[in-house]
Amino acid sequence: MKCNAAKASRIGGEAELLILPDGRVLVHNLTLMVAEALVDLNPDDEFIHRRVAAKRSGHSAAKTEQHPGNLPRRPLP
Amino acid sequence: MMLAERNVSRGSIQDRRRVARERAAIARAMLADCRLCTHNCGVNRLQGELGLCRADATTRFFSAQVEVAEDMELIPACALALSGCDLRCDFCITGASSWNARAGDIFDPRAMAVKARQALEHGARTIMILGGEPTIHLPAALEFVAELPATAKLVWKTNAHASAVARELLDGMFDIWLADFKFGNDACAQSLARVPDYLRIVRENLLWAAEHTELTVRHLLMPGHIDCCWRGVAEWLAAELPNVKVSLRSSFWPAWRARVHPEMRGTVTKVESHEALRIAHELGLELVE
Repeated sequence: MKCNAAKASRIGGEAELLILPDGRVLVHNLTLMVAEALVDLNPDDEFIHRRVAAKRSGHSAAKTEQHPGNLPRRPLP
Repeated sequence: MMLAERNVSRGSIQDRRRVARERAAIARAMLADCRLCTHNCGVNRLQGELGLCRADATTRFFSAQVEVAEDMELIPACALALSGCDLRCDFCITGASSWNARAGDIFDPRAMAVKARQALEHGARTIMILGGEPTIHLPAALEFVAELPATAKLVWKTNAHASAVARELLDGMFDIWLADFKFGNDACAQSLARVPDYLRIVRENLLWAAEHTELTVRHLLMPGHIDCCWRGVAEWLAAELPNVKVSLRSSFWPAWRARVHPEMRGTVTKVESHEALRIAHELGLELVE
């Protein structure tokens, strides 16, 4: 299955997921919001976990990011 | 060609903005006889002539967002994807925008620099220019650099198909090159991306980048191409750039026109991933996550 996490605008803010029959999830254009969702789905996934941690250990960007509707979209501020 | 100032040595970025501005002007003038990539088309993009990349003098972008997908030391990255590319990879995951230089919105270097600065203030660690292929938009990319803080950590994400003159203009402008080494032989490069003489050109670019900047080489594992492509890439890296960082990606999926190639209608299997890692470890490559 392939779905656009955020339907493309031309300016971007798009992440794409491909969920494989064996349960693997492939992601293109991984944004923090999608990474956080994936960590919630699979807390044992170290690859994603470290990426979320990297963002959280930085500045307070996560606090200021907007959630347009229920679509995980993260354009530039 | 004589540049206004040829060498901005690595780490010496105080003058980066000024030099970038000077070089941007040179690069823009070069569009009259474009030889920024090794297709060496020689078309006059300033007058609307189109070479193999189909890009005129206008730069567009199709994505601008903060991402956390890249190597740990680069993320969060403010990633700006410019439309158009000089390669024609059938499996390109952004094929619709990468094959179409007219996709997306017009790239305004000054306006985008404002947004990039904001991204840095909000926690982005790097600013990364990618494509498509950014080399074909070298004037706009340098104009963008000229608008950025001299201390910003800049990443040039490229297919490593640049010409020598483009590399000369890029020297000292970006802190890190994230360069693809996609194919392990010329036959696969021709078949999958319609690019001739691939190995010689990419190797030349990688050797240059290793000498002039901080280099990470990326390889996207492709189903059915572990032995013919990854092994060849890995063996060359082990022999010629043994200390280079290698980003081995296993997230291939059959995007764009990949299905034209029967072996690329699926994803990389676990067996193939394990074999690829075994090769990397056997050759002592320095893999980064």
